Amino acid sequence: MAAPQFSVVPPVAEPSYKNSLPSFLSPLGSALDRLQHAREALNLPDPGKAEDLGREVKMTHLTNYTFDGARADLSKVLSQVPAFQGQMGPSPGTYSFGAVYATAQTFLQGNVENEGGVTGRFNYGWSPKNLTKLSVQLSPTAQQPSMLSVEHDRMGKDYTLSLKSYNPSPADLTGTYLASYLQSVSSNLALGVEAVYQRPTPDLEDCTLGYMAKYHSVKKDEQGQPLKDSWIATAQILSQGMWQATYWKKLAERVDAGVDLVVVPAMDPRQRKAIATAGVKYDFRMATFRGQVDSEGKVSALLEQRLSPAFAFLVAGEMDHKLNKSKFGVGIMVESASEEAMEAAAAAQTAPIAPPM
Amino acid sequence: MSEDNKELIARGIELGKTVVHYGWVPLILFIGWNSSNPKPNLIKLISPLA
Repeated sequence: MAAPQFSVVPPVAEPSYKNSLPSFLSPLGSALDRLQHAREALNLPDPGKAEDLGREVKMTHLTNYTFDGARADLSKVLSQVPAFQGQMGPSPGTYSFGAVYATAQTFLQGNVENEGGVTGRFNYGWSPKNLTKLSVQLSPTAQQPSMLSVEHDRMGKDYTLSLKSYNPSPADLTGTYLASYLQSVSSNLALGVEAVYQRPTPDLEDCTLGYMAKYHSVKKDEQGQPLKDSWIATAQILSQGMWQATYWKKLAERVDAGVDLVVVPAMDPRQRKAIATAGVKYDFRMATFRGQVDSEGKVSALLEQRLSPAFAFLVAGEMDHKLNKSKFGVGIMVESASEEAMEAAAAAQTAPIAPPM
Repeated sequence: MSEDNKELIARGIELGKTVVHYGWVPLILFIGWNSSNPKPNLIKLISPLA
């Protein structure tokens, strides 16, 4: 029989500015606390990350998923918790080997290709609100450029802040630095600003600003999946001078549609350019179909057919009516799991973990 | 910052790049193998067929 447990809970001071600041600053502390309370009372939604502004549209369109030629992706789950996977992918001309390791707090990914290039990613979630990401791209030889990026995201209740630096050099502070801040201002609208500071050489500096807005109405079910009739509209003036607008809507339970407009304004009329893309995604029980058409005359489609939980067949096609060119790709995806890993996962009855991304 | 220090930093970065280039994927494989339960066979780690 368990002994009755007595525990004295010390009165925990509520974390507030007033308690954390020295006493002579208490008027300032209480003012900040009142501001914080007023902000919480507004109960604004999470606006999502600035870099994920057009994410739903990108996931609906097939531009990031399509491929040319034949390809095979083999991945092998070696352990479920922590997630540990090996991947091999022969595709025309290249062969790559990768490994992924993920826990709820860390995410490590590495990939090496046949010519010797290595890409790596490391994400570490300090807390649910703070996430640091490192990524490297190393080319096979020292002469070719390599890339390192360091990024920190802060995801607050009604804002997100992200700081990035590409190829920062501690010796002469060259590199590209980027800061973006997105804040919800009402339950449907979020506004953001982005600043890019470039310093390619010690005596060349450049700073540009970009702006973004997101107007959305998304209702989610228990699993976090958006419900029917959710929609998101975004507009962005990117710091490189491009304008971009997107609209995404869930038309039905299994159908997403997205449109995307990119405008490149220029003083010279011949350099002005605009591309509109419209796409639709159908999620069937064992297949995903994506189709899209753009104003450059390209029509493309991608079908991912799952023949069994571990085997998928992919067909991609693209026709460029303006240039009279076409692309065609077929691929397979095989996912195998070692028997021990399956048994251990079945015994543990644990849900798949969501690594910090 | 003196020129010597800059040179030192540049050399350090080059060394770090080399270490990451050859060590990153093996490091992930080792961490994953080490913390997996049960530990998979080493041959299963790298062979696509096993």
